[in-house]
Amino acid sequence: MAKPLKRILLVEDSDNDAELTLAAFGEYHLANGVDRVRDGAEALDYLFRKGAYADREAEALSVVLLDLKLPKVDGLEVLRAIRSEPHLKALPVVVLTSSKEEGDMVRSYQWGVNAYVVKPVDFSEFAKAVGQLGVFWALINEPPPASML
Amino acid sequence: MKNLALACIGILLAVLVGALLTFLSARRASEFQGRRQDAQIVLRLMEEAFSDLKDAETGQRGFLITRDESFLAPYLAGCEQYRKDLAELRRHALGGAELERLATLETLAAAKLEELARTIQDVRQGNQDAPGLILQARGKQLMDRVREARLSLIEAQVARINALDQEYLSRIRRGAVAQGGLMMLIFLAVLMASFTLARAMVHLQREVVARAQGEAEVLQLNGRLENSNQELEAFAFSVSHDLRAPLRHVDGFAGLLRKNMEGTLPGNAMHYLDVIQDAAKRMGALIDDLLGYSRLGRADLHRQPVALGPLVQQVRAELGGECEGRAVHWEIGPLPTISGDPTLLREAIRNLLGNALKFTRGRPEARIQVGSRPEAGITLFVQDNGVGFDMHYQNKLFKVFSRLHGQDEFEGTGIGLANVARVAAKHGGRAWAVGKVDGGATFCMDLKGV
Repeated sequence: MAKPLKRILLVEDSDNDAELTLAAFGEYHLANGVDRVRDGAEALDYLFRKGAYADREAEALSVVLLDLKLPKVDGLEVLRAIRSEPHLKALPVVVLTSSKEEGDMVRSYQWGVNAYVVKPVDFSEFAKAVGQLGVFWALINEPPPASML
Repeated sequence: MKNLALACIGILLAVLVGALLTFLSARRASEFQGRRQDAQIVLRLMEEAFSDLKDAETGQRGFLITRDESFLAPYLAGCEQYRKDLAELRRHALGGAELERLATLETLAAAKLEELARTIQDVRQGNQDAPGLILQARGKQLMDRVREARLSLIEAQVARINALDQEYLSRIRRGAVAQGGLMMLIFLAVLMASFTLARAMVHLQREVVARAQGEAEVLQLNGRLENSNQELEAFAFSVSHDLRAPLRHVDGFAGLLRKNMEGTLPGNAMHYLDVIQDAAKRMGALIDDLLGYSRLGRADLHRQPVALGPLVQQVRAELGGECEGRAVHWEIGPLPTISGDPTLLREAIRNLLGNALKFTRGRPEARIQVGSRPEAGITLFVQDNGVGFDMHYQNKLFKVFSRLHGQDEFEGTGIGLANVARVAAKHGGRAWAVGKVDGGATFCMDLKGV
């Protein structure tokens, strides 16, 4: 039996972008479950199992797809919280954003992001980029061993 | 300033002339003093000589009356003294009418002395009796004439002294007038200088105030510029993030629609989807290029030595994809190393080489030449044998979003050459072009600070 597929956390405030991302995963036949949250605060609740997510089962994620421009708590703060928490430190995080601004890239890498992907305007390119990174992180990449988490 | 210099020269000259005048008048005063003293000495000596004569006469008379030789002592002393005084008088006599008068006096005095000597001689020899001689009155007549001559001489001498005094006074008066004039002149010059200085001071003060105001304005403007730059930065971020998202959605959902409905949609509906997706992509490209242009405008110039030869070769290699399946003949001449910003120069060269490739697309063989000419700085040029352009529109080439070809002919956003112009301007130069419709084009960048 194949090992159980780990879930993907999608932090994205735009319904359209979320839908396109899921469509791209569909095109690439990615079967992993995707949980979507709409802002940074919700993302932190999800990751730290607080508030509405207090009852969430403690399970390892394959990757967090993180938008930078988010309501309430922005993506960089979420990234900083993840990297500051011992049991989340090794969690793969990919920034998926519209911003090509150098400052955003610099700060993301300073906080130890695993990849930085700019969403292309062109849908076929977008689908390719998102699908490929989904496949890579969810299927190809070996996640950090449980002993680290 | 010219007035001030004139006034200063005037003051200097006036002071010099004043000093000269003072010196001359002092010298003249001592000269006058000397002449006046001489005249007084002449007067005194004349008195003394006359008194000698009177002494001699007194002695003669005493002897004539007493026939006692001892009475002759005043006579002898008077004669002796008279001779001495006469010699002295001659030394001080001043000349002209004075000397003549003196000569008359001398002659008369000599006659008197002779008469005295003769009478004494007569009495000694017993020829005459004394009272008779005295009463003969010849001696008295002579003495009266001497007295007259003496008086006229004294008068002349006094008149002379008066004239000297008069002249001296009038000279002093003229000197005073001249000095007064000079003082007036100095006063005027000082006044003019002060006026000029005061005006210069007022002007200077105004200048200082104006400059201070100007500086304050510059500071204020700088502050506003800083603010507007920050706003622009925020705007650029917003454009980059917020405007691109809806475009992605337009393109994305049109793409999903196409995919899900493939085969069921009529042909023209598929065409509409094409148009929607192309337009969205094009707007995305426009936004990206506009952002790049804005970033280029805000970028600071970091000068360092840049070897243009290797830089052009690198950019050419990057554009290799566009050359696939085409015959492209590159001719890259020797290029210098200049002082410039490598990032900006790479961007400009990428645009120029990219254009050359783009606009030679229809040629059987594209010929692209890259070279440089030493001008004031250097001029980097890229020449191609492409479609060229009408020189009539050369001003439009370097403007943002300004294009000479339709999108269906040659794709593009119309930003590339605007970037080239910005890079040239940041290097203290300019970008320009020459071309001919269907006759190729040459694009040049003047760069300063080699």
